[in-house]
Amino acid sequence: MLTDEEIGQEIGARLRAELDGIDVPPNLGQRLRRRHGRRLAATRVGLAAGGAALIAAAAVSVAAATAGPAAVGTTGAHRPVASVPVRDQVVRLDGYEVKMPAGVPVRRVGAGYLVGNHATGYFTIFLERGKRLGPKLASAHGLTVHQVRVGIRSAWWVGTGKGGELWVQIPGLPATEFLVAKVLGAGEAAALRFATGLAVTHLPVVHVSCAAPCG
Amino acid sequence: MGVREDPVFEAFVRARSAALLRTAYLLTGDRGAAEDLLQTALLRSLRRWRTARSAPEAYVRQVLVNLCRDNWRRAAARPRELPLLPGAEAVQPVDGPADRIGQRRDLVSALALLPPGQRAVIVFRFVDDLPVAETAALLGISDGTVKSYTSRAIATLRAALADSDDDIERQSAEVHRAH
Repeated sequence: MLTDEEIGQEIGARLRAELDGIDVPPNLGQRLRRRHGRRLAATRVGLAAGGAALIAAAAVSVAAATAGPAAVGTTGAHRPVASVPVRDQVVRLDGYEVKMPAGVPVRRVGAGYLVGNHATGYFTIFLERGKRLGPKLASAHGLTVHQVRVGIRSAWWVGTGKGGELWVQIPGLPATEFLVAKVLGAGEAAALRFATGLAVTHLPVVHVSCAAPCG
Repeated sequence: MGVREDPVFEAFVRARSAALLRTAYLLTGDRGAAEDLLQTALLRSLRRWRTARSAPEAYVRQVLVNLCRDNWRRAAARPRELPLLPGAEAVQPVDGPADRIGQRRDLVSALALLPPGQRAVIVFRFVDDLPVAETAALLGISDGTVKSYTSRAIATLRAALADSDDDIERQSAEVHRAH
């Protein structure tokens, strides 16, 4: 009969084997920097195993993330997105209150909702578990799945509403571009969790709305 | 030279962050949460680098535990949210026997079934190979509690894995019968 200690050792060995592929993501330094602003030069912390290109990409992304919605794609001055009033309109979708900036149109597109327009620089992501972002959907917007994932990963948290809805701005994309995606694979789930601070299981729907009728 | 340029910190992060990420992953059961946790822990450690420098790994590990506790507390207090679309749960993909076999040895999932304290004990005792006393100090519990948590956790893991195996065998048998 094996003792708890022996079984524990066996469990530990198997857990280590299962975690073999888990490594520090190359953008961890970037994320440190984004979360904590200029207090820490995270790109120099050395979290990333990647090279100068990654660090340069991170710097661009951070600049875009801190530029504010009006300045996406421009060289606007630093303006935290969170300071922008985003909750001055409430729309009811399937019983949920969705809060958004005044004047943002909402209409149903396919299985999801289109929230926002090309002028606002905002879109809402509704999460529906079990859906996956496919290359066809991404390429409809001239993007690869990877670009969308990176975009989501770079998203700047803006806020969440009572129903779990998100306000997410993806920096680095033109303000006139919106994404439609039926998400989520594990990667996007993790990315969204990072972007929002919420576990995917807490987010009721996944739908990245789009101005184009392709949802 | 400021703390932020300390090459010892950089070297530490390069050498140990992968292992710490794995620990964080086991504690949280979520890759994204683990990455967040690690980066916050590293940042906090950097801000207290003079204190952390003598034993950085122990310091970061302690910060990880503290952050995990905060997360667990927040999660417990958070009201459960309902799905937006009625019946959304019904369209979840159903795994076939092949997928289930892939999960057969998924100890990480089984670990997530444990209460946070027991999970932490298993991770620190058997993955990070810390002695009982050190695990107890890290978690702020007694040696006896570490031992009882270990015993209970192992019993739960064994039961979970046994259930999983039975389920797979049953499903496989059904598939063979159908063919």
